[in-house]
Amino acid sequence: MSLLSVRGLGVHYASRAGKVRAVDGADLEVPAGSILGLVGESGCGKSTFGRALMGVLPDAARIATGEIVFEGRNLLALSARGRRALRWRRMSFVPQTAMNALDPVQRLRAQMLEVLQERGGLGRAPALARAETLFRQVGLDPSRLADYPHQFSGGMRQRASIALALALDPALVIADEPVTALDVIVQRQVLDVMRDLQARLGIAMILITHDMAVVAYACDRVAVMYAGRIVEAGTAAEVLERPQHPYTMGLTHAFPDVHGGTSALVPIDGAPPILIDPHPGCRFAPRCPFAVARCHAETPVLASEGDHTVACFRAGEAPALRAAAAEPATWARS
Amino acid sequence: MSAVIAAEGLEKTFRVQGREVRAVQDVSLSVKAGEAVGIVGESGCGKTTTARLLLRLEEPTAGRITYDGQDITALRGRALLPFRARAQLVFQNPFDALNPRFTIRRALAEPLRNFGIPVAEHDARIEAVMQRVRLTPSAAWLDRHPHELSGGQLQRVVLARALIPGPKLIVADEPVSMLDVSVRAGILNLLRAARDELGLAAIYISHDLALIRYVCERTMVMYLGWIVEDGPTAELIEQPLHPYTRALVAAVPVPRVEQDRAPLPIRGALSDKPLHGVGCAFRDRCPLAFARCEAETPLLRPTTTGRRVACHLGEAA
Amino acid sequence: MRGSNIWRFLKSEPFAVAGGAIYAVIILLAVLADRIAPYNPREILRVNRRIARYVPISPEFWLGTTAAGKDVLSQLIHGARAALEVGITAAVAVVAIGTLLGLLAGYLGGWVDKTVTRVADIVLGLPFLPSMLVLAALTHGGTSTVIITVTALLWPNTARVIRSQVLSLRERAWVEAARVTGCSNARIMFVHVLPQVLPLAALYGSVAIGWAILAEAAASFLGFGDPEVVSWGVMLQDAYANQALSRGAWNWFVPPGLAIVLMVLAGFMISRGSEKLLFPKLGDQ
Repeated sequence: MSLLSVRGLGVHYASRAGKVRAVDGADLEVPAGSILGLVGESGCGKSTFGRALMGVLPDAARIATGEIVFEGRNLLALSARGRRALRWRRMSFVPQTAMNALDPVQRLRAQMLEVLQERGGLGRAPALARAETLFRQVGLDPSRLADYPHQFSGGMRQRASIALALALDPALVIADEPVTALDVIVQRQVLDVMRDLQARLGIAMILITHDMAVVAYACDRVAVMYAGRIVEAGTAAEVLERPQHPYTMGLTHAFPDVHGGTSALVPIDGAPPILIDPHPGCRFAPRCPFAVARCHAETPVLASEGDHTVACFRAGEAPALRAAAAEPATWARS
Repeated sequence: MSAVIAAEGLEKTFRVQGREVRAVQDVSLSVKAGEAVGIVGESGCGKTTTARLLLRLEEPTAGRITYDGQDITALRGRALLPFRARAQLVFQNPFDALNPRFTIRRALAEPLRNFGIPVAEHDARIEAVMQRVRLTPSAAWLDRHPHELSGGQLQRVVLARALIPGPKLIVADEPVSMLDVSVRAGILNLLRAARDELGLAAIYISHDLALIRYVCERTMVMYLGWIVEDGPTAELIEQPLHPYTRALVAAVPVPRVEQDRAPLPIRGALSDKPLHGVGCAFRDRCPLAFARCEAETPLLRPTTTGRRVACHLGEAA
Repeated sequence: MRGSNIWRFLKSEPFAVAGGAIYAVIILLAVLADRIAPYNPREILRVNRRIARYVPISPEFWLGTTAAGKDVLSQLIHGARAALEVGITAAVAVVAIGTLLGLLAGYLGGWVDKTVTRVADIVLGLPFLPSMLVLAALTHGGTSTVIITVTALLWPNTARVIRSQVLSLRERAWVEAARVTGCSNARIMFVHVLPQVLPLAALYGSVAIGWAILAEAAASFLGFGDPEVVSWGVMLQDAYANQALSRGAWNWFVPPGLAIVLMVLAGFMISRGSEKLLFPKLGDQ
């Protein structure tokens, strides 16, 4: 059974222009102990999705539909108190900028102890010991617990927020663009920390990112999000090497490979739809080079072929479409 | 073919809160017409400052800059105007690169006005450049304001503004890093087409080595203000000579599941107190450092294969 | 600004609307003073061949008369002219000088900045009223003195704020873009940056109007104003000199005092209410 099972999640924001369906019917399965990369571009709803899972949405947003089944329990059926009890204990969050997680006027030790003692109920001595262990686990020198966040570099701060997220031994860590703002060498080190934690402690992670290369490096499963919906999901190898959704096909050709062999980068013309009163049909159809009449009228549902799920009417023709998708000419619009 | 722009021994030191920060140290480079050179490195390596020095947006603390053979280091104010007309910049943040109160038309006319292009020609040139960046029909865009355009559209306008005075050199500072992935290829293709059709010299600044490989024939790697290695991009990536380049290349993830996940050949982290004075700036992180690295600053030397590397291990590294 | 935006703004900012209404009334009074005022404000009026001194509120004299037999209401209405003349002139001067110096100091930096900031600091250290009175005493008073004094004492506030804004605007990419595309410093300052700071300058201008009027009233009240001019401050001075308070002739000194208060208040209300209009958040539709 999956550690986390999301079905039909809908998150709406109230805005002056109308109701924005930031997440509109998203389904996702996260097996225990796996690192899942949730990949998509800006505005696709991946951040909102992550926050909805954690229950840390801004006031203007509300979860309108769906269920989030975590460790067998539907989180949306819990009271606010029940959800707060879960937060940090079974599920924790690493925000995009470490400075959103760390208190600038408290030393790291105090921040770690706060979580360990107040949330975790540990005594001071065991809490201190655990704090040191956590720092070591993320590759930080335990003596740095005495420092303030501003004395850390960007990469170290990010590792400190990961340590904080791991404090109470959660089963799932949701990390929102954890390495986006970091230099490439530091990025690699932080990703290695995450993989190491997965290997040694069996922690599951959802890595929210826009970078396919990061996903390929660090994740064993991938879910692709577009316009508030998950359009494809499966193992990293399957989704990256044999994508079945045209958007995924486009995305995989939009990232250059440092070792060459990128003949031409594919631009996907147009822009994602505005998520207020979306029109019927597949959200990607206006930009899809393979769209047919049915795509504009009916909304495709996530269908699975074993472990690989995809929401596209033409998924059966994937191999032929993939070949066409590799050519920039396919994507050129008049 | 002679260089469009060249620099010798460029240095720039900032004074920040009483401390001296050596942002650029002994940078020498040259770029020919039609050539695309990448400057790559992590934060604090001096790549952006180098670009700003070349464009004379900052005064070098030492060194010389020549444009088309003419020394422009000492020029100021009005005297720089002919140079400005020939050297333009594509900015990183499309949302901040245009005056929010100007219409697109006005933003494009500004360089024409400043560089003394007769008013009668303005409309034609604006139309031509809008065609080139594929924002057509231009009438639909020219009277809009920046807040009405998306990131990708704005970046096209920024490119148009850079191309409109007919420059010979374009410097692009992280031109696509703030754009969505699906939009990046479009901008990069436009840049490349402009280069090919207009024979421009181009300098790309980026932290993304994969992008640099896609776009530039030659690349320079910078670390803490120094050039540590340069040469043809593919060669530099596949056979790095400098230990830092080696670590940098190894650190870049590729969009394929099968990839190298071995530990990086580098120690420690970038500290905020960079080593000054004599010795190699990379020595505290280099796995191959030895006594000479502490005692003597390595010079950027040419190799037998047309590359340059600043390392005491030289070609043997 | 689109029409629907203006309407929505008016509905949501009662302060700005109220302040604007007050100004509108005062402007109307000033412009139409000759038509509206029932009498000549300087004319000594008689009732039944006796000078109409201290007449209380009555049908012929809506606000009564002064000790010299002049109509209070007519003086009040004509006083609006003086108030606006002083207020607006001084405000424009403060804004112009303050903005110019703030712009130069913020953009050019270096010795220009140092000089302007030093001078501003010194001026800010001076106490407003005493300095004004000293200057008035040295130059024999009058409306122009008040205007010049107010300008000389109030420009640093505007200059400081404008300078801060210019300092932050200077770092924006589009200012750098202006340099790269060949703009001279002067062009960048006046064509690119100035339009961005004008809303802030206007804000300070509306506050400066209030201060200027207060200054004029204070100067006139203390006898340093121009007694030939019919202004609210002179009215107050006149009332005080004739011991209107102990006579209970509140119809004489309350109206001008109230008028001053209202006008100063209106200035603050407009500036407060205009903040949202002049500084819309980016992307706020």
